[in-house]
Amino acid sequence: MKLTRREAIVGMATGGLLVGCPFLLKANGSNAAQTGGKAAIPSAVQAIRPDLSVVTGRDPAQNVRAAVEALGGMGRFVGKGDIVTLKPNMGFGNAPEAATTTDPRVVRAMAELALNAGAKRVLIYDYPCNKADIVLDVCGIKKIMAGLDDTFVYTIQSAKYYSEVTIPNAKTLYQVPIARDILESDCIINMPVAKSHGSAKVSFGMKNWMGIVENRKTWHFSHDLNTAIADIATFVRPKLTLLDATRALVTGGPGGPGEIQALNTVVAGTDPVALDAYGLTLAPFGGKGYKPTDINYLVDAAKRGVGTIDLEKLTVQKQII
Amino acid sequence: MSLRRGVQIFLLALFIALIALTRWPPSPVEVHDAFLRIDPLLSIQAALASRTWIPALGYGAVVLGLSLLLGRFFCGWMCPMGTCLEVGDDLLYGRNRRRVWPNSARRLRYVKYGLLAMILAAAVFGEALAYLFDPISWMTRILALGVWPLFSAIVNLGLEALRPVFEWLGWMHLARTQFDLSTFGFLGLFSLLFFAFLLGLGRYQRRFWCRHLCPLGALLALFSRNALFRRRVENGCDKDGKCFRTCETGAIDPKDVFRYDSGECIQCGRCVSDCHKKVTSFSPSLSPKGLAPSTDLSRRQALGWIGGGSLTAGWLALNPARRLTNDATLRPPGAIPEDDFLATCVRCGQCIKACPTGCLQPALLEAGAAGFMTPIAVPRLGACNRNCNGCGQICPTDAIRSLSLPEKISARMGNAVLDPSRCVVYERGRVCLVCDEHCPFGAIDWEENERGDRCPVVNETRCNGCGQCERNCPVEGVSAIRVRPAGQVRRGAGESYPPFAGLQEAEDKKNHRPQGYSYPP
Repeated sequence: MKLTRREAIVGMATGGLLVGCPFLLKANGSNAAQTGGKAAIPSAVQAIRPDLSVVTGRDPAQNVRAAVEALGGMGRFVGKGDIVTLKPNMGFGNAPEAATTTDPRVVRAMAELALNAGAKRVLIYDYPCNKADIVLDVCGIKKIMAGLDDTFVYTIQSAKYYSEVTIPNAKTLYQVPIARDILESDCIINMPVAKSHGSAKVSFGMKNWMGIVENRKTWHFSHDLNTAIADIATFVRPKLTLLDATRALVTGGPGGPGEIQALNTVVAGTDPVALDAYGLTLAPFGGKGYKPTDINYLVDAAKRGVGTIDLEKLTVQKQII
Repeated sequence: MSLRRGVQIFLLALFIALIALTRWPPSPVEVHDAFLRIDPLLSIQAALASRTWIPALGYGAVVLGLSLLLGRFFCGWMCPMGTCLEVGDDLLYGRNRRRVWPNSARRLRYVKYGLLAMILAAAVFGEALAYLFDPISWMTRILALGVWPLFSAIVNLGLEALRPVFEWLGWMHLARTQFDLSTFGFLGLFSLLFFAFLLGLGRYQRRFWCRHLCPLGALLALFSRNALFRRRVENGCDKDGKCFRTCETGAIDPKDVFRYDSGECIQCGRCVSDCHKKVTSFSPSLSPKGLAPSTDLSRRQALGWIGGGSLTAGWLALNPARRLTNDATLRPPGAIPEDDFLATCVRCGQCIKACPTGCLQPALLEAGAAGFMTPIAVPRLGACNRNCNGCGQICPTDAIRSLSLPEKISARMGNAVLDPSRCVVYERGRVCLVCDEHCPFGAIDWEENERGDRCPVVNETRCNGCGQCERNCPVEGVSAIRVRPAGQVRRGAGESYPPFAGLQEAEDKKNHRPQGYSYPP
């Protein structure tokens, strides 16, 4: 993986935080207190921080805030002056009711958290399946961000915005053009919407990375789709993944029309495999529902050490607010 | 700058602005096609050829009526082609410089009258030819298909060059903006070359196109022969000949400067301003003195042109390719039945410019000889967006009907047909249901084969023919799933469309959502 200097510095700093250096933890906590308005989290609580935080409630924005708080607050993921990239699903030119794109309120709440944690700039983009300006107009995300400073919603379809990278541990996707905004960002936050999916069975966090590559058509044509999804998951490591199941497209995904269930839930976590595996329990996706082991790319990614597929090994904190 | 040049530049700027604004969603006031609507040649031809009343005939009649009073004011003051050629002439060859041909030489003037006769004869036989020679039609095409994409390309290069600056300033939207260039095809290039050719003709005479070739000019000339506003030269003229040397259209008789061809005069007023004795004026008058209109076209020649137009129309109608293409061409949703469509479409290219996905493209010969430059749908380049009905709202002659969104969806373009021999699932056992993913109507089902692959199958009753599947199919080259016009639904003006079953089904499914979610809250 190519590292910019900034990424390296932030990576080392985050690494330092995660191994639990008490002094830095304290500093991080006070940072969160200063910007997020929450008291510093004692290090004893840090130790039992959940792997996944699941929040159900009427207000999607409140759900996001509670879910991130349960993981230790935004200060854990975003440092001062960071360029933060949110990758929601803005693939389809459908209104939010169609459940094919991430709920705009969820995206806005996350952008606000990032800004409050000191982000210098929040970039929100996708490579849409439909005509870009129609998608941006219809899906509601661009509109809801109006008035938020340093936040940019856009699409990138021109090949000029992508750089060819080599995936070291790839099985099929050795070379892939990835959006430079992802490669150069300090903090990547994946914000998929929970959908069933024709070819991949479900489209949660890992499947969402198809929106950061320039030539995804070859994933169907020249590669095995499931292996390619696992390949890119070994390379793109989000600091945080938040699955929007405010409403989920349970069948007929990813473009709809299909059955939509209002689950009023968001799931947040740092382990992309665990998050996708947990997402399967939310609704009977594809009609009958899937077990984590039914999803080939999850099995493959878990084998390659991207994350944990076994739900029993995870600590899941559930809140209803 | 004279008053006339001011008016010309203003109207040209307006024309360009209207074309730039021809986009989806369209402006609430339908003015983008104002110039095409007031063009009498286009509306007369469309009405004759399709044998229907075209509302724009009313505007055309106003222009013709005003020509009875004011002469060819349209050519001299309003026509965007005339303005461009005049300014081009000034810049390229100098305002008063000598040209290859003497300014008063009549040479090819009859050609424009001949073309007019040919166009009208072909229209009587139901075929449209005006678009090949009409200046407004050409100017719209030149701008919409040629200049606009090139302009966007230049803007893109500029944006690309300034990107580091925008990023440094934090203007991320500008740093990530690139304009779509999906309409600059062969015909864009062709229309630019045609315009360059017309500018080149300026070497021979000023406004060469307007004098010799323009059939709209010929039509207006016929109405302007005895226009009320007439040129008058008082006694005191010293016959220095400046007027006939600088006349914008060479209308003044060099042997007798008191006489002029009133059908050729475009009311530019140069003979008045250039007259150093100040004896020339234009004023309303009924006196026939000095009027010398002529079409330079003998009766025999006229019959020849009419015969040519009729034969062309006959050939276009008999051409076997016509019968093939009638059933093989994907037309925009809401296009009226093919014969009427070909007769009514003026090939202005506005629908192509407005199409937000690049689905509409100008046909070269894909739609047969008679379909040259008509819009065809090419889903591989861009699917028809289900939320857009722009082409019908933009079409100035209603060759594409202006439909509400549900009506437009009922006006199906065709049916998707899957070719298993090209599909990566059937052929290679790959994991792919991209056609299903993109189908907005859920018209792709899948069946598991003996290998356990999910193979796509088209459900024809739910298929709208929008082409999202063809657009997004990952197979390289020709898509494995293609929209064919077999299931197309085309109706003439006023007829209603049978409601599209798939729409109701899709809506029902959408409405199936449980309580508990709403947006905006």
